[in-house]
Amino acid sequence: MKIKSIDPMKCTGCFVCQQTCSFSKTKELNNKKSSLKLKREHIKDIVLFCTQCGACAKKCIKKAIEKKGDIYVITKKCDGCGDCLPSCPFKLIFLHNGKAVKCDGCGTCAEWCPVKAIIINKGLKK
Amino acid sequence: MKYSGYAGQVLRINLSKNSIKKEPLQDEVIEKYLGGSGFCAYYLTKEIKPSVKAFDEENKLMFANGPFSATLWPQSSRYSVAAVSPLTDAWGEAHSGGYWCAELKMAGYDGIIIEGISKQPVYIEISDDKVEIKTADHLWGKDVKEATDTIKQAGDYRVVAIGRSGEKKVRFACIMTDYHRAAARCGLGAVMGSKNLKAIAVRSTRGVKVSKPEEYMKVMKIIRDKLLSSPYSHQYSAYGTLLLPGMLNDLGRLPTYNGQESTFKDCEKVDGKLMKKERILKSRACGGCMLRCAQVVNIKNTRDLDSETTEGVEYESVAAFGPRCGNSDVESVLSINSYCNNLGMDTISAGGVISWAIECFEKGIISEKETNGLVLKWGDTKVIRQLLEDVALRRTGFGNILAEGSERASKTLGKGQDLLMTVKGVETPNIDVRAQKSMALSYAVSPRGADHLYSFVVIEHEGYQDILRERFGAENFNDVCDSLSDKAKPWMVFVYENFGTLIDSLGICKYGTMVPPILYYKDISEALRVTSGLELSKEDLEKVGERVVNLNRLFNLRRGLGKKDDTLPKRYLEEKARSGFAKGRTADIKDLLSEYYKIRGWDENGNIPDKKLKALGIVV
Repeated sequence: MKIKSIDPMKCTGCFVCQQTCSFSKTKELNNKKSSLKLKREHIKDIVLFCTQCGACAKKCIKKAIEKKGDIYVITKKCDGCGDCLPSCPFKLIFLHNGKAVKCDGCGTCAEWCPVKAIIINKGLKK
Repeated sequence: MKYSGYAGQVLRINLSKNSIKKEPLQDEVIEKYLGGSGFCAYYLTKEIKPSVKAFDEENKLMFANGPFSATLWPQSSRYSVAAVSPLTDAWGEAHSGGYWCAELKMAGYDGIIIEGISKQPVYIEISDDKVEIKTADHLWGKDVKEATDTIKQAGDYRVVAIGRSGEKKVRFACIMTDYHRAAARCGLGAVMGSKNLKAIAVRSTRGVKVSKPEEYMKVMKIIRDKLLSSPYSHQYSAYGTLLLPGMLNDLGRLPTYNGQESTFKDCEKVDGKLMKKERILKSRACGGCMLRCAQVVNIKNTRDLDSETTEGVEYESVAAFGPRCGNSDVESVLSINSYCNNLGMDTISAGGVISWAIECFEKGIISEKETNGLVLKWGDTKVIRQLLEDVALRRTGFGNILAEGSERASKTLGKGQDLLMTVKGVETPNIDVRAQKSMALSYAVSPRGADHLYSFVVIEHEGYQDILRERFGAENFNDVCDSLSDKAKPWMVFVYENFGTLIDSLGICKYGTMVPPILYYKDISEALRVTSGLELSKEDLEKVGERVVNLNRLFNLRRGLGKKDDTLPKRYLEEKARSGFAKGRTADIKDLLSEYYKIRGWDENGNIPDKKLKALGIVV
């Protein structure tokens, strides 16, 4: 599952997507450790999300980021060197417990979004 | 510390000594007071002597979040702030949403206690463990927006700040959170200003741990779904509180012309229905809030997306600058509200002070001699705006007098006492209590002066019938709904005061719990178990609320307040309502008051017997 779009007029800026993303990946509530970023521009609440562009996979010389379906996932080979972090155009990758963490298309954010602003592309399989 | 969901420490900053200390949170304090308002009540009652006045160096200003702050509770970013109030010289407390509260928790603090007075203007910058007191020379003299913008240029900080009125110690100045949310009542912005503290900026990189991570998401999802699927939540998401002008007008509870009338002929012009059609652009939410009551509204009548907006307009602000001042021009209401926020003043008190002045002028009690040449008139938007500015900046002699609050102003002028709309020195919110007995009692007994939020018993007028039966018992349903009778009202206030202070102690919002009444003790109990590991039953939680209410009362009793101060403005007690539902009635609260004291276990003079304090585990 891949995020298709997030509506900046529907989005209220509540950061529940960040908190749930962070909890599902790290078991902590920390909106700085999440694969989504919020930006406010006048009345728009813009959420930067992983488009599965693969820039991180290209950057990783250990080949620890692999494509599965339409999702790039971080594998066991990751040693947490952090080289992939700057390669992400929106800086959405973070380190946790010595490993890189990125969006794996789990859909938790969309499930929790109170205004259903996050649209998921369900047609394509993981 | 035994419990999760807390950061585990309280920050103590002394501005006189320029010292910063971090103190561990005691398990016992958590068990008894939970956080937020509970912490404020506990620390300040223990640490501030009854002789200390609001602007004294010994006054302390405490900010506190609660165990649910920055978690997945559906409204989870609301802090409490408390100090001796400049309006009452007694218990002063306010609450605000925004994002700052959650950020403070994630940075690693459950509360901040500010002591002393700085010699120069300063602001506090917190980045996780790093806490600094910095010079605020470049921020002083700036309003909320400019000051917050300046701080945010240095990094992604969440900011609480005062405007110029806080700097000038206007006695009803507020503390603004992340631009648009106000910790408004009781003049705590003036306390911050008196300490020469302009702002507190926080940024964090850390997270909050919970006690049962494996169950956590499942339990919280049930609570989330319960809130969002409730038919009652829709109105708050779509309108916030902006439908209330029309609703309260129909009920005859809309104070108009400083409370002389209870209905307003041009009410539909300032009501949310029209606003939604003309200029509401979207809903916004505070941190972690799924209810999203804050409306982003264009000030001008346009749907243009780039036009100047104001955010989080509430009924109280609309009513204060609208009907209360006899003003039906919605554009001016919105722009004055936005300006008032930016200057950093409580809109309820500001509207209250101005409407009192206008009534005094219209009745010939004061003249141009007192007002420095201003001709005050109902609904004159230019004059209202002018007076607001004069008050906020203490610019003219008259502005300076009004900046002390209407009660002090009437003493200084020696005039207008009978027209005062205050309780304990605090201007009344915008509900005409002659038409709602439960709220009449609430205004009178609230420790922070006239206050609709301390008990927040407003659920009977919005038609939540099934919930009323559930919370107050089917057998009491008719008494509960009869808002003009005394029946069941003291008990309702008792139940909802305990619940309300519990909500404030959890670091969450009263929306979603009290109004719309969706989540209740059972949900809180369950969420506390998976968040903090605290196993508290409904009875235990009620006791926490009751403990805080008693502690707030004790704080005031020690300062010489008592039964004589548990009263209402003369207008509500003696003048018969001229229009609306309660036409021909006054708000007699004598019987309500003694019944309420009895239910609380206080004596007939409203004092707390030692055995009551002991039973609640309050150590004096």
